[in-house]
Amino acid sequence: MMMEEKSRYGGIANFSTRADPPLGWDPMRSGSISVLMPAGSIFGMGNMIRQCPDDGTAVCPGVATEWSSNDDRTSWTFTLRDDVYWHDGVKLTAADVKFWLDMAVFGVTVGENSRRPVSWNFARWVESVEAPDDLTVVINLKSAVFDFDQLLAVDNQIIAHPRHLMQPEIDAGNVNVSPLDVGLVALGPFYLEEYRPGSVAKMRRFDQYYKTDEDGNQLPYLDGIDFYITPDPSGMDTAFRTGRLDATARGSGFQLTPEREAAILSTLGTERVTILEMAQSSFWALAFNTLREGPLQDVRVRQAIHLWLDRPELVQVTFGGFGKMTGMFDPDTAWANPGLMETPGWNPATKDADRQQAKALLAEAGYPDGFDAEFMCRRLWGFVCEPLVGQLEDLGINIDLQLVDDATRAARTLEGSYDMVMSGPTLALPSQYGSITSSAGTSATADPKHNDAKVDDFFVRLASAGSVEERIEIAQEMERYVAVEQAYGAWLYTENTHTVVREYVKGIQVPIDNYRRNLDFATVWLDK
Amino acid sequence: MAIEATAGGQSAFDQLVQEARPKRTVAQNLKRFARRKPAGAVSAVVLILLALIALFAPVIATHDPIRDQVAAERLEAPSSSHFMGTDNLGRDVFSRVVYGARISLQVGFLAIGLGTVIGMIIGVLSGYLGGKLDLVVQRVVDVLMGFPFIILAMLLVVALGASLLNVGIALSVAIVPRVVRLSRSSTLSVKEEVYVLAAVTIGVSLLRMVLRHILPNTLGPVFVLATGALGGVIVAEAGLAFLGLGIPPPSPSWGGMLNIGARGYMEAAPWMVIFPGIALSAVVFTFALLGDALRDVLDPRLRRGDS
Amino acid sequence: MQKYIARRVLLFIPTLLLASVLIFGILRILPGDVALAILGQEAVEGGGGYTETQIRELREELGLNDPLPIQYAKWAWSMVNGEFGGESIRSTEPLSSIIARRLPVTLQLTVYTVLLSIIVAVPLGVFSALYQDKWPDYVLRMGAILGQSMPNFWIALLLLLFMVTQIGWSPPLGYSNIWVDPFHHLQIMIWPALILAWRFSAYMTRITRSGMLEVLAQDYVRTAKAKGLGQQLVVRRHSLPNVLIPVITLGGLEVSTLLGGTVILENLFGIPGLGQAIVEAAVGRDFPVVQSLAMMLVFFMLGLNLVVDIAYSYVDPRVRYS
Repeated sequence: MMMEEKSRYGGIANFSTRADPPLGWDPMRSGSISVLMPAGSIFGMGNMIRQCPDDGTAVCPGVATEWSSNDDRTSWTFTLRDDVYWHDGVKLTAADVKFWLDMAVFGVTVGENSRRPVSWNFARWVESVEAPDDLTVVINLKSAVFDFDQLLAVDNQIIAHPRHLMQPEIDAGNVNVSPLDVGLVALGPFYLEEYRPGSVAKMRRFDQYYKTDEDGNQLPYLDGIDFYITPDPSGMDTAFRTGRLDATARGSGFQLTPEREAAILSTLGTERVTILEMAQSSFWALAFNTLREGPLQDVRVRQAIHLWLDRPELVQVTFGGFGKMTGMFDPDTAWANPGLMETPGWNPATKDADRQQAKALLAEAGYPDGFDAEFMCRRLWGFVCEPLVGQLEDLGINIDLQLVDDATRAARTLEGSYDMVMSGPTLALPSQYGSITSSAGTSATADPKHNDAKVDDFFVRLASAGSVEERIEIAQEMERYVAVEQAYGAWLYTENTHTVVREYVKGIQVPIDNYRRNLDFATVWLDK
Repeated sequence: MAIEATAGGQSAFDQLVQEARPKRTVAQNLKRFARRKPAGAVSAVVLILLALIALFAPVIATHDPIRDQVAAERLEAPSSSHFMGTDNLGRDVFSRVVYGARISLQVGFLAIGLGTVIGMIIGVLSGYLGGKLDLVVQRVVDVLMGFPFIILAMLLVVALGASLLNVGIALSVAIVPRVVRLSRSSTLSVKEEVYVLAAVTIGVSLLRMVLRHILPNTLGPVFVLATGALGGVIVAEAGLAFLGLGIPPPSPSWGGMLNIGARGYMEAAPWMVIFPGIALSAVVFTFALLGDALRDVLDPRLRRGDS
Repeated sequence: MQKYIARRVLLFIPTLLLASVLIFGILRILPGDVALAILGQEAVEGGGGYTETQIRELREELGLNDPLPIQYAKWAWSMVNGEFGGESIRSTEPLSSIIARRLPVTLQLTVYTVLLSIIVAVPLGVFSALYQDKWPDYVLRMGAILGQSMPNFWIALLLLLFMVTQIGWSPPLGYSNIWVDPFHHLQIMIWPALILAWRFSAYMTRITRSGMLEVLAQDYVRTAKAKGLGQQLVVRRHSLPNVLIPVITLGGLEVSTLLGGTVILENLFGIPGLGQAIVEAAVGRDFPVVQSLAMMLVFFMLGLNLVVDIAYSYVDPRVRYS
């Protein structure tokens, strides 16, 4: 991040978000960019601790100043700052944090009404939470977790649930009280001034925000942010080009393609625009259903598809080149098998041979002339699935592409009523390894369908590993087994998130590892 | 037009009916139409051409509309090898537009065919039988007419899943209530005609009655309505495609092509939006023109609506 | 007369009931429910997985376990008692407030479109009829048909692009109500209204034209002409009034088509209307929202049709007996 220039106070930034935040703006209910984009500035990112802005694998302080564990790593103690206030001026105490943790980990039950616990990865290890004094929080675990702080620090696990406002609601039976219900009173650098659903959310500077910059100046710099809801990407692009927006939105379908970026630059010129590039940290795969009667039950057919697909070409036609090929993990991190991208299937140099091999495998499995297959794809990902269909048809597989919405996709995933499905979200280790469990294991909600207990075993081993090195070893073994040997899916690529801001928007912390981070905009200032 | 359908060996009654109606051969009708409505005649010719293009798409197209995706030839401007340029996946736009004619016509005729057949059956029966059935049908028609049909079509596509067949079914819902109203009211008016009353008196069966005497008379106005609505259905498919609810990719539907093109390639590759857009607008335009001409010639009553 | 009105009004109630059953029924054939929509969306957007236990817990939390007839009865009753279907499952906002917020937006867009259409269509239709089958008639009719031939999202995108590249202007963001900031409001609304009006006025022009042609052929108009009255006077005093009534009534009946057309443009211009909300809620399986908003639309449309029919029956007694 460039900070040579002196940061300046004042001004209101016009930012864009793609939709009204769903589910009462509740980060316990939704980790979607639709919540985080406008709400990050109100809630702040993380909780007692957070992922460091410039390095997602490191842990930085949030509302806690320090934290430590006992020797066997079953109990973790956090010390809170003494100067943190809710937007209504009430001081934050350890009891507030305990209220939030209890709500997330155990849910709430009042009479017949119940609120379900949250699926955050740290939650399943928590035995109990204590608040021995106003500034100390103790979390006791069921068993040792050597990197519990990393699990807790995930940025979208946000304290947005003020005890002093929510407790009375809960006592009255409204266990599902949401942050929006209590006026979004939270701890972040901005408070909500006005929200007009479907059009705009106006945030204004919170003077008692607890953070300062390196020189000890009070944050945030901006007087406020207006988040305009732009449900159509074309409308958003247009508004940016005419200066009605200072930044474009993050999120699938909204982040820029090379062509849209070029169109924007053609109006505004390169010197009036800053391009921000962030990693998506989700790795696309074409997942196979091996539980359904059909050709995909044959591992040779699955491997044939894995070998056939031309990933560099897919990256080119799908994202215009804004992406790179991957296995289950980012090949540029320690989690991936070294050299995997030079092996058959991925390596462009051996593509012709791989394709011949694919044809041969298909013939060997008894399908020399191909076969019919149902390919289910999330509607919003149609543009990702379409090029795949072209390549698969070229292999001789007659594809019936079915674009469905999220509810249909989920229902059919439970039924297993598809031959292949486009699988998006597998997230980088280590902090979120839980999500891979459900996207690659034998769970009924997983995209690839198989009965292979060995895959589940990898996740048990990953969770109980005693060190990062051990975990990396297991991850690599899993990648070789799941993506290559058994080919339960054909792992493809990851996409880069490109957004643009006007050149006068300074101090945006670009999250290089995951575009859902660094959304509090506390350090942003306007140079105009 | 439908009058000739009753030619051939027929009862004395049928002859009576024949005499009660004006006589003109198909050829005479066409000639008269071409003279009085040149625009209509031109559009009819254009539509026949279009049907031929759709039929012979594999011969006319220079590339495979789905499989020939070449990353290296992405977003190329029109040239001698790609008459209309290439799209974001490096496919030949010309071939896709040609194949698109097939899909647009298929979905158009499917929706209109379903809509008119179902609508006429219900409308004629409801008008002829009257009573409780008629009352219920009328209410259902009221509801369907009152519901913004794009929204209804969207709900149906979400429920049934997007495919050519289902999109056709969903769009036919727009036609059904209008056809019901129209065929019901023309049935009602025919019902009172002398020759129909006569037929009832001599004991002609219900089915024969409807098929022989009522249906032919309602066919004309319904035909006009259907022709005019065809264009609307094709545009509506494009609208659904824009919301991701049209015929799924990689099928080269014009609506789908417009959608992808309009979303991000309008400036980088204007040919992706211009050519399918022209094809779509031209076809809809011609259908509307034809419908307009037919309306003037065949059914002056329509001017006052169908109530 | 009174009998006719009474009959129409009485029929209005079963029609509404039928509409409610239809709407309720269509939604139940959508695959999946709101719990799956929420968790499924979270799984792909939030990057978290979910389990079958969570699905069960969420269904319980949302109270989705009532049998269908009870769900229907509860909903139908709530539409009558003023709760308008309770609240959104996803946002917990009461439906009365959603409707109060969104219905006026869509209605305003509709009213602007209809007004623009009438202003444009009536003179053009008359003009077209007076020059029947001469070139002004052809040009006007072609223009009208062209408006019906181009998808409105495509016109809208071209328009936006043209404005951006040629004059560097785009409509402002963040919809505001006309009574809060009329200038801001109109700057946003005028574009979709114009685009919709092109299509809608095409229809209106056509009925004005054919109505006019029919009236011009009537005996009394011929008499008036024979009396030596000027053409302008004949049109204004004798023909137009007789044409306007069917134009307005038929126009009223087509408003439901118009309402459908607003869905796409609302999205494109960021206008928080009903259509946008219905589509969003259907995708999210937020049934209370879809049901109640759709019901409001149908209620509004059927009400409009009722009024139009009754008004028409005063003008043209024949309809009472058909």
